[in-house]
Amino acid sequence: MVNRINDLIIKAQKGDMFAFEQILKYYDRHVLNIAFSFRNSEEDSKDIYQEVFIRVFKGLNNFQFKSEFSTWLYRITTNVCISYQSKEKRHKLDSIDKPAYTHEDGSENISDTIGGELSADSLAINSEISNEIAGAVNLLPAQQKMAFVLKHYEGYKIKEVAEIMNCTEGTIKKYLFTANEKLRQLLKHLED
Amino acid sequence: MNKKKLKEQIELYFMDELNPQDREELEKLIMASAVAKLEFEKKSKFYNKIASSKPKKMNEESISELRKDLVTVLRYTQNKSTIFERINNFISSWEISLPKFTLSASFSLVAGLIIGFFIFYNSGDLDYLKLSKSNIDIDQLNKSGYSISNIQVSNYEDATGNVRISFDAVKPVDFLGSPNDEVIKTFLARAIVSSDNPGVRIKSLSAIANESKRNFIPDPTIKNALISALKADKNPAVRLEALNLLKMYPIDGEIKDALLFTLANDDNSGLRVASINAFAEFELHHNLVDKQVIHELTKSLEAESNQFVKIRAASLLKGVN
Repeated sequence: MVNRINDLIIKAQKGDMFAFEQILKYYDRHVLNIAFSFRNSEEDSKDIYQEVFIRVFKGLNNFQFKSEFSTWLYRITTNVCISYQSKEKRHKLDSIDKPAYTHEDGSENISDTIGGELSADSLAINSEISNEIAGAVNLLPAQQKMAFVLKHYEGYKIKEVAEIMNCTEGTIKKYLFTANEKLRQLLKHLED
Repeated sequence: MNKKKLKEQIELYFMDELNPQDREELEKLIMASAVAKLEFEKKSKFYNKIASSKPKKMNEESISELRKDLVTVLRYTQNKSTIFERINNFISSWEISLPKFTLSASFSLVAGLIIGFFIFYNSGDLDYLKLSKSNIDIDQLNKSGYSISNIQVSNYEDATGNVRISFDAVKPVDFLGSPNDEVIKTFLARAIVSSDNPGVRIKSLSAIANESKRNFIPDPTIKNALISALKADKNPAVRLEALNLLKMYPIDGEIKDALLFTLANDDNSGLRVASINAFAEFELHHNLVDKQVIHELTKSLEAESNQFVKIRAASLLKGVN
């Protein structure tokens, strides 16, 4: 698979648009998921998606196969996500009361987040808990939030997160421990 | 194991980052120590909560649409660079020596200056209404409300010794009529394009807007004035009013070009959004969004700094694709 991707990259570097589309189809879902987990907003994640792949398209010739293509791509994704949050922070602060996973029409898809066998009351309570957790995650500084998202929501190993975020494993562990501690403080009232 | 190390090991345990040996050691410690067990249970609850709050994934349909939009943008980017490269290659393939190039450029410049002189040179006499002393009555001019200014003595005539006098005789004119009267329309159009006062320009546009709401009659003179105002007026309020009035006209190539011009060049983001909205409105009734419009919208997506303009452009592009 890696060889096939590398062939596609070489073709795309020579201007083969079809090859680039194949690369896109292979990776774009994951880029979008990272962006969506990070921003918790469909609109924002779509903006990030576009920005990431325009950067990749323009900078593809700079990719020299010194790392995995996926690492390079996800590094661009995390950079765009983090700078997106920094830009936004200059304009507004997220509220911890903000609903977490809402559709564009404002409705919340409870069944997507919790098991179907639960009662209506517990569904509502669990949904509220999920919203509170998402709100708390949104309050984390961008770097800690990205490490948290990649580790807990996207399932990467610490070593992989470190490669993607271009940090040492120690730094990522520190981000994760600090993020977890902050979240525990913010969500203390949910412990009972 | 101290408490800090214990906490970290438990965190790593839940993150599935411990090697089998460390994992086994930690499990033994938890079984043996009440403090370790309590810490483990606290963290267990926390990680269960986190696991239950994972965001849902985007659906396949959204991803396909997004991919389609992106490919449109990328294809445009690619074509743009290819054309540029082609031009660059074409120019670099010229085999012209520097002296030849300099000579031909100098010749073109001189030819241009000569042609320009003949085209734009006018005799000053044409600017004046020629009157003889028999058909001019200063008293009558004053009585008729003319104000005389800018008196100039231009030259002495050699043979007769006569003196040539030129002056401005200006009389204010007041005219009342419907905005659909030809004369009023002409003056309104002229005011929109050439008045120095933005208030006058806006008043002229408002007069046209009010009349258009009651009885809209498309007029080419007014349309041209509106297009000029949209493209060149320094005042954004004037440009916006002109754009709103143009939306009442049946869409044609000139209006489309003016909207594209605004989308590409107006430094006011509100005007750029208004231009995209105008395209969206026209698109409901006509197949207006062609390659050229898509090209500009895509360019906006790429280069636009204003997030709202980008979103509007993306949404229109999405609508037409």
